Amino acid sequence: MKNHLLTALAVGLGSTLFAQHKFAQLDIELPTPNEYRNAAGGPGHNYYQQKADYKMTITLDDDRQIIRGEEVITYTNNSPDVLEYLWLQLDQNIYRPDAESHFIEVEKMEDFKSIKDVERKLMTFDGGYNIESVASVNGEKMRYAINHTMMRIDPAKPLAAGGSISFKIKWWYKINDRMKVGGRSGYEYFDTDKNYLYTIAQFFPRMCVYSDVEGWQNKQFLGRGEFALPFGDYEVSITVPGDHIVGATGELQNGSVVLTAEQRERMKKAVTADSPVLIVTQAEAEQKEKGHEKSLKTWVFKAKNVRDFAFASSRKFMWDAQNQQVAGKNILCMSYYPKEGNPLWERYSTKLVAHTIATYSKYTIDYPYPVAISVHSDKIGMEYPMICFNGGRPQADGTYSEETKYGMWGVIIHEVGHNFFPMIINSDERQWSWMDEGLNTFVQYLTEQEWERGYPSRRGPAANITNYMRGDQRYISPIMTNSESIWQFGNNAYGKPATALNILRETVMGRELFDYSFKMYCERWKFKHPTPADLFRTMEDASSVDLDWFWRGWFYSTDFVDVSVDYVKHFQLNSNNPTTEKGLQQQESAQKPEFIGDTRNKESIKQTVNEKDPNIDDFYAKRNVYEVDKLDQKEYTDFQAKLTPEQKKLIESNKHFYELSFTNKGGLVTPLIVQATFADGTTEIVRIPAEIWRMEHTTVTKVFLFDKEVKSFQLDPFLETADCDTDNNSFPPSAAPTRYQLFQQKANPEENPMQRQKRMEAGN
Amino acid sequence: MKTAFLLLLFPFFATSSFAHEYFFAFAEMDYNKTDNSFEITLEGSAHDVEDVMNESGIPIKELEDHYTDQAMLARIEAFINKGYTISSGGKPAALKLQGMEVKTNGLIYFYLKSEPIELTKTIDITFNWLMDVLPQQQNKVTLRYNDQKYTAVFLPGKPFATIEFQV
Repeated sequence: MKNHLLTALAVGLGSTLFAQHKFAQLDIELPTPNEYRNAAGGPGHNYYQQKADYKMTITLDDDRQIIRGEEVITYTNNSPDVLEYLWLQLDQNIYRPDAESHFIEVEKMEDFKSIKDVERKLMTFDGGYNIESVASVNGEKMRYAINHTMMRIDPAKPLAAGGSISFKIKWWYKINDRMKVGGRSGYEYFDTDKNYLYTIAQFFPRMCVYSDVEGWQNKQFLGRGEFALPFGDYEVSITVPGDHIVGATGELQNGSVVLTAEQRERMKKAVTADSPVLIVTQAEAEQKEKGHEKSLKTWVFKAKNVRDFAFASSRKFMWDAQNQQVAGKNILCMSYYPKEGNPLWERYSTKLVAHTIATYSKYTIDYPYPVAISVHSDKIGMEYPMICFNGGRPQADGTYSEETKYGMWGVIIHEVGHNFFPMIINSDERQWSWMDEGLNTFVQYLTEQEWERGYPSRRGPAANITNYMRGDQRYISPIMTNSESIWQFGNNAYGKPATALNILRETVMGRELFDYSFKMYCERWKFKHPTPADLFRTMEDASSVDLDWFWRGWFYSTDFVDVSVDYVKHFQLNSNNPTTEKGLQQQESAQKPEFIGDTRNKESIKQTVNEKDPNIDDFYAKRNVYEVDKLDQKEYTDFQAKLTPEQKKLIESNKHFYELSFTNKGGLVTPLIVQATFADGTTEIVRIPAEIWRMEHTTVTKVFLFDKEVKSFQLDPFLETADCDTDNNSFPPSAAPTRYQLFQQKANPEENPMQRQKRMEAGN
Repeated sequence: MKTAFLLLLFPFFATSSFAHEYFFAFAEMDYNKTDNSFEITLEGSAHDVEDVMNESGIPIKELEDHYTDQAMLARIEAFINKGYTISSGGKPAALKLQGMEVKTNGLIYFYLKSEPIELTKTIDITFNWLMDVLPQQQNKVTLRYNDQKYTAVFLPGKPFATIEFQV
């Protein structure tokens, strides 16, 4: 229907509804800025952080899968506070039979349907630390208390502000079988060749963070919320069987002792190579698998300014390396993997490491460490400074599916990316998983897209989060929820924040403002401990974009985006030319459908009274309302005389006005991206900022002005806002086909394409 | 009172708890009025599904290897029907597996069609698929019927839902 718009002046009356809470500032939610963290989102003028340096001697017992260690910790108190006690993390105690984590899962009898469920319930692994001693460097015993996964040490006298203390801890524990007990680290046993592959982490008592935000961050380790650790320097000696290859956080200090001359020669080539060079070949690794050397070797590593230390050790390891320059600095990228990882690992792992640190450096900070390592570790992905453990294992016949390939690529990019979040931009994982997982998943998406055009990233694109966000909100947590209490951890801590940042970059802020602000956050907080408020404030302060509504909706609520197009009304300017306008009115009147009673009456009523009696019809009955009279012409001439030439031109332009109504069904305020498709097939995009919802959160109307007649409107045409129901996004209405309908239109997939190729080559 | 409970015997398959699991399955259901059946796309993480199938006594390495393996497809169909049931007016309708597709982003889509089912005012759904092994699994259904969309969430402690159709 085409309506006509009167060219009269009108006073617009705004909505009297007062509803501004979705756009309220985050003053209550955010902590008050202070001398440690400023209102712009940067470290304050008195920002401080503690330092923890470690010297450790570690022995890996390959016969009994036991690890023993002695560490000297030097802890420096840079805070203005006197510390009466020190807290350390004992993560291995999560494997103690009496660990709290075993008791906090909600259970029902129907959970025990199979013998295996019962076996799992009864299974105990006698893990956890055996602390042999805690003493000063002079050997004097120190008082300590263990509270599950935390250990308190009481210094002989309180540690003064600016002071430091050194002490020794001696410990051992049984290493967990990662494939049976689970966990982020442990060992995998290969029955075919009777060898072990160790990925060892969270293996030594580590200092907790003491900060201006939480005091001691000594929340118990329950399994999900990861770690909060201070920076420090590490010197670690690791004694392993003589035929093992060891990769670790930091730089190898004694290559001349532990490597063969040939391996050193190969490494010399690798440090300048732009593609991987094998230090240990598959044939060499397979040869070593057959023997079990009894002698031992000690590998020594040093790492500066890291928050943690991890290592991997096995005689099964192949090892390759290549160089990657970042800001003029050489970074040695390396991979360690057993033959079971090939052919995927030799071909891709180290190249992915190099690509990841180069791409992350572009979007965040220059990678500051000398090495970056990827270690093959079936089924998991887990990160530590300079080293990470990654899954992605082909089938025994050497073939692999595309899913396995992309899975391996994705996990390596993700875990290497964790070097930036949280290893360097060192947020508190125990409190906020999303601060490292979400931000890392976002940059992972950018890195994947630079690896391969159209990379099938699982998380990042807005449309990928909609299944999670819509529906019953009782079982969805706001992103701002502690790591242990989150419904749907993966979608909440990884997917939703990554999507939110993508929407900020592509739709709300634009790439230039976003990239500058995000990089500013990373630069400000590298080698420091940022909080959510520091991120929120920096992104606003560096961009001049008010984002409180965005943080409130995306991070503090479970609202979701679902905006519908309710109606479209078409108008054109009234020319006031009586010939034109009355002609149009007559045309419209003639086109109106006729009431069925009128149609039938034409037949059934042969003659009405006024048809019989000419005296019935008066002026009103006889006049032709569509006739243009002299007065009409005069009024039009007078109207024309009052118009400026520009106004005349505007009236003659024949512009099309469309009033569209939108309803926010999901509650999350969002920009409106409207695509108009014209009758001639061309399109035009109008982008409306989210502030259109600032006074009225539920339904808004907007008038669009075009030179051409519009055939259809589409809301969110590029799927950039995470609109959870796109069936109500178009006018005229049109629903997208379901996945099932799409499936019916194509042939079923058949077999692993690599296996099919092999079969074809074999003539089967 | 002591109540005895029945233990089912499955061979033991090792599992581990991984750091970065997906724990989410989603079913998109549409009612086809022509043949009175539900057309369903069931989405999950392929690795999660493989792990749970192994745990449940169906040894499988990669689902992609079984696109045309009728015996395995039958086991998968039974595996899905065990954790995902629909009924209306007390009458259940079994789900027939029409096909499956592993996407390069690691998600798997199972395409299912129900037996014919006459709809009453409500439909009952049980959707505890994968929850036996993954205690943090959360499942969700979006059902489209008469241009309306209905959603329901399923958790280990809440495996059932009744959807009441708007008149």
